[in-house]
Amino acid sequence: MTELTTRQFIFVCLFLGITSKLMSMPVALYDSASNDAIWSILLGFVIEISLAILICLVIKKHPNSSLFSLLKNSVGTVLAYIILIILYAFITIKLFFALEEVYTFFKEFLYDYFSPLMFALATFFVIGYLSYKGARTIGRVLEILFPIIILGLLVTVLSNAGFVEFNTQMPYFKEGILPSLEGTLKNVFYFGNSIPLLLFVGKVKISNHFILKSSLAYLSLAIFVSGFCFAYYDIFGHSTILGLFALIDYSQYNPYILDLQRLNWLSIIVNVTKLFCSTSIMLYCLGQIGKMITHTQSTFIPIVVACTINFIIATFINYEIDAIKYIVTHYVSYITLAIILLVAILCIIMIAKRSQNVKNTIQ
Amino acid sequence: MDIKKKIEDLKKDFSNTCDLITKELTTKDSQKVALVFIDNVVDQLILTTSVIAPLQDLTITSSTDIADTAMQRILSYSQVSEVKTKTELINGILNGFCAILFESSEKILIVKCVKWIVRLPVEPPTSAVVKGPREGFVEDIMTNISLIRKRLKTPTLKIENFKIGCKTNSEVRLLYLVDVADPLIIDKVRAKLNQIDIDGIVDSNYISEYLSAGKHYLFKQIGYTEKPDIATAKMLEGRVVILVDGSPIALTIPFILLEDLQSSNDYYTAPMRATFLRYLRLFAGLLAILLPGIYVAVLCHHIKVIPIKILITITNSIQGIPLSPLLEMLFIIFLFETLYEASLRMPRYLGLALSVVGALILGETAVSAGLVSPPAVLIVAITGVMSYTLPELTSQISLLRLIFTILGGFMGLFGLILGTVFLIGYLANMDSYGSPYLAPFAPKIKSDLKDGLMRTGIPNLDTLPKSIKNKKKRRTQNDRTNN
Amino acid sequence: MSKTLFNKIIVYVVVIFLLILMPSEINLPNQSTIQAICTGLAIDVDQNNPEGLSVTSQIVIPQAGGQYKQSVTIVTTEGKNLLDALNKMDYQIGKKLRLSHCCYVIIGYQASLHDLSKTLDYLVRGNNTGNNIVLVHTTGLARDLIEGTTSVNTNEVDNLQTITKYNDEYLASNDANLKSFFDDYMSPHSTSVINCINRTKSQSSGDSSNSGGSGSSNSSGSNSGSSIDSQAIEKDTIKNNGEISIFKKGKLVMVLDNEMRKKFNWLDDGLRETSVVLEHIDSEIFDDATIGFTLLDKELKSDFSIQNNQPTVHLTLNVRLRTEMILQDNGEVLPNKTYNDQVIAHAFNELANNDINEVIALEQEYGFDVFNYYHEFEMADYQGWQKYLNSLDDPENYMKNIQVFIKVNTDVYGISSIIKSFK
Repeated sequence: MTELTTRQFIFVCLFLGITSKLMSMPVALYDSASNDAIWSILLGFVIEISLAILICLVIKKHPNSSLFSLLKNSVGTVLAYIILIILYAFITIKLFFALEEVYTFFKEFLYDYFSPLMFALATFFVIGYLSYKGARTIGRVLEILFPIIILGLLVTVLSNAGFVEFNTQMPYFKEGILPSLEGTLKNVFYFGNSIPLLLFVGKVKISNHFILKSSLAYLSLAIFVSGFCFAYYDIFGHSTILGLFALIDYSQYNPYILDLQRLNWLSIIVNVTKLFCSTSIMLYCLGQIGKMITHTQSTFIPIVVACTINFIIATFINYEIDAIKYIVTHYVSYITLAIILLVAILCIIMIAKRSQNVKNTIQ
Repeated sequence: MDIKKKIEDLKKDFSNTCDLITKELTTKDSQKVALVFIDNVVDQLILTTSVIAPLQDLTITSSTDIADTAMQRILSYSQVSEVKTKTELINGILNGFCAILFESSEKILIVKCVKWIVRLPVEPPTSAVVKGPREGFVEDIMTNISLIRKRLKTPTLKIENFKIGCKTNSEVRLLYLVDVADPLIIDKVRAKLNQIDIDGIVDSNYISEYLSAGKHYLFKQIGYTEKPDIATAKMLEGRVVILVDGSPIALTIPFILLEDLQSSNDYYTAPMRATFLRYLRLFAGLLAILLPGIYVAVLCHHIKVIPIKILITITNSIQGIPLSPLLEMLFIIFLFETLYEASLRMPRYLGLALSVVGALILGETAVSAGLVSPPAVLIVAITGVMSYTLPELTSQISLLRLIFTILGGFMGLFGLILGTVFLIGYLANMDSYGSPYLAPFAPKIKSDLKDGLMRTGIPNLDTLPKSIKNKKKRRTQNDRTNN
Repeated sequence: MSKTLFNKIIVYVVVIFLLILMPSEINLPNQSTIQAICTGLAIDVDQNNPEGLSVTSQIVIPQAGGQYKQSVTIVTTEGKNLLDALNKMDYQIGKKLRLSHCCYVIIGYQASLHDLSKTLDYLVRGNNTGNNIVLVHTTGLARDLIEGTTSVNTNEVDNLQTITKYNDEYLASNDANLKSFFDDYMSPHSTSVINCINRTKSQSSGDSSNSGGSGSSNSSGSNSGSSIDSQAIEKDTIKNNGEISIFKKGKLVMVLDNEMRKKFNWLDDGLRETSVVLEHIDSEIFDDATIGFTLLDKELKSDFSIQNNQPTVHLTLNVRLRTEMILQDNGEVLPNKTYNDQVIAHAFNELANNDINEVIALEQEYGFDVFNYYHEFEMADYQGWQKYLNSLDDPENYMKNIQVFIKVNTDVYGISSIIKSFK
């Protein structure tokens, strides 16, 4: 039951990958790694891309089987359920973080008063609709929005590129390589964005050069994000840590366009649309996991449950984004690291599994 | 049986309607014959020359049946056939045939001498062209078929006949090119047409609602056209066309959103100009939907994102307006829609007066009375004009504009973005007979993009659209896939 | 069945929710009626309380059918800090003051003697302002300057920005905004440069009569820049004299006048089109001449090195000049446009050398570092620089022991000189 074309799958990869990478990640990394932050980002991308390629290999090797049956065959039923629950929890946190980012963005930059209840209801209605309609609809929506978003992002990023001086952050590694390593490890949560791709096993129509195409997509994402972060650190220099959301600060900064600086509409629209897309993908993944765990036919109830869980978390953890960022960088990151390792091992097992099967059938 | 008795029986079947005319004749050898037909439907000239005259001249030999002889004689003048059942007879008379009853024979003949009132195929008001063919469909189905046949001189054009409506008995024709159209689509349409159970259809729109799949009420899933050239072009791309007797509007299936952005004019002008116009229509349509919403959202929620000079100009001109921006905008939109509806429904000579009243007096006085502000009037007027760049989508645009205005007022920019994403999701989810509604953009179909928003030269448009399922791949004669 | 029921319930919930919201949201007023838009701030020290601040704000309050100038009002409040003063301002004007359109912040002289980072922290940390607010320093009262910008003869409320933008060609002033100030403040060299603009009041006999100036409370008949209106008598002006103020650790170190600023210009990277005048040139061609040039091209090569704990800078300045004016003492008019005389080059080299030496001496005396040599040395030799800093008694004053060697190469160039060479 393939629902996505390769092209649409690549857009899913890109939209998932870019979640919070242009917003709170640059500031958080600068906080941990200071002027070596750009190296932390590159290192983080190495982790993310390797994991993504592993998952893509699994998707390519098993184009016709579902994740659940694959897990069951590889590690047994009980472990499969446990892994699914872990994935569910992780994606829930990711979704919550992404939504909190959108909410904070609106509250801080656009509204005087912004009702959280209103926000939650409206957002869950739309992303719930998209994820309920399935990967096919999400894929098509991404296809429509991708050119617009990428154009908007490029215009936003390039508009200030003239101010980059290339050496503001140098010299690197003043205190050795440790701060940059620490920066990556503390913020590895931001680089776990490829984990939800696991849910697309068996849903993608594999075309030629599937692995090459997805790796290139991830590589270009890495280049784009690192380029943006480099420009951002270079322009904002030491006052970077006073920022909240990198892209918004960045797009507002242009001393020459005094009137147009107010027109940072582009970045607002692009950013929010982007986040809606990625959150709906995550919610879709949650729905799929819920469907696998409960063995229901439709994803309707799993999606409603996932929305409710997020809503409850949001109501009880009524923190500001900074507090959540602190929790994420100090506690969740280590769990993320463990999950990334787990998923990597799982992927290797699943890839190996396939090759055994092939041998059997040949015999 | 006595011929008088037969006529009486027939009259009873027609509830003794006064326009059922009966005429009794005697042939040369004094046989009694009766003609039964409906007044004004039958052409008197044909009746006299090809029915009455041959019948009066009729002489029979004793061995032959008078009906057979009459049939042979009349056959040389007009289309004649024998009816076996009463229903056939009644339907025949209703469809403008003249029935011939004989005293000495039980057989009944019907002769075609119909003369419906037919309009000339003039240029339809809904789709006028600057350059290009000006013929339009009319209410008569036979004329419409002849208009299509005139353009498609191929034996692969197949026409299937359906009769729908137990009272109206309307003729519905399904037209397609056997070697292009996808059999699955044809089967599906055929099945749906056969399923229709209704007392009558007076326009093709009745059928189109039966043919729409699912509960997608906002956007249409069936294409409409009033022009034979468009219908022909669509059939060449593998669509099927449905003609309904009594309606000048042909239905085309499947339908995708892109068709509303295109216009037949595009193919009669230079490709660059056509491309520009398509982008223009798209942006005008988007702005028509979003502009009032953006205006309300900005004023109610985010004045901080407008440049200071524009802000001061706007805020100075809206000081002292008693209504809130959302209410004000809704009021003007309401006014605008009312004017539009009224000017459509009013007699034409009054409509002209109304548009002048609406545009000048209402707008001007409302502004000078301080009820509404000039920017709001300006924005609704602009969006009103913009929405007519997509005449097929005007009704959808005006509804969406209302929704987006409310969203903008309630939730600001967030609501607008949310609404847009939802709208795209809603459209992306739709399918029309297996064609993705947003094709060729989502999913992207590379070969169709050359006639997407951008139009390349017609020689380059040699492939058939893949977004519509069809048997052929290329328009050229040597199609390797053509079996 | 249950799904359709659930669907219906969700629809009902949304509808009820919308109905509850309806009355409040549908009447949401135009924001500009409940908010005041601040376009500029002026910060002075409170006269009565040296610890507090006196904040003056230029506010746009919309007027039905009004123009810009009628909508602008000046309001002053005092408070313990910026936030306190702005809060008081809300009460005073009866509207919530919005800083989202604030284009510039003017710092008065007294306020600049305190740590500016503390004063301005509210503006840069919160998310309610844009991050390219232009910072302007004035040697008088900031309030005076902001009142002057509310000019009755222009339609612009942000004309101060236009005035500072004129300063583009000068050192570091083009991006002297809040963000760059804080960036410099938080950098190790902690030296910031911002524009200094003053209001100069002159004696005037008559009152300039302006029609329709009813809206603004404090719009005195001031006139910014050059007066085009011949009838209006120039009472006072806001002039960009090309002065810049140098801040170290957020406190004012000194204000440089135009002449001194031009000397700093030699050491700034990039081309700044400017003019140079050499006086008393005596040679075979010239007789005690005054020659004016335009700087066509400037290239500064800097070589930073640390040897034996001694930071050294080798500066090579390559300059191309075009002759613009030759005034001979004896009144003789020279026929050619350009004279590529070694004497000129020599004189110019001397001038640049002296200027640069003067700048370095000033930097070493006051301990500020406009050109971020800290960063340059760090880049050149990180370990050596750290060692050097550790060896100092006062690491703040690292400029003191830096040696600077200067070499200037001059090329005088003109269109006519090429034509001449063909003859």
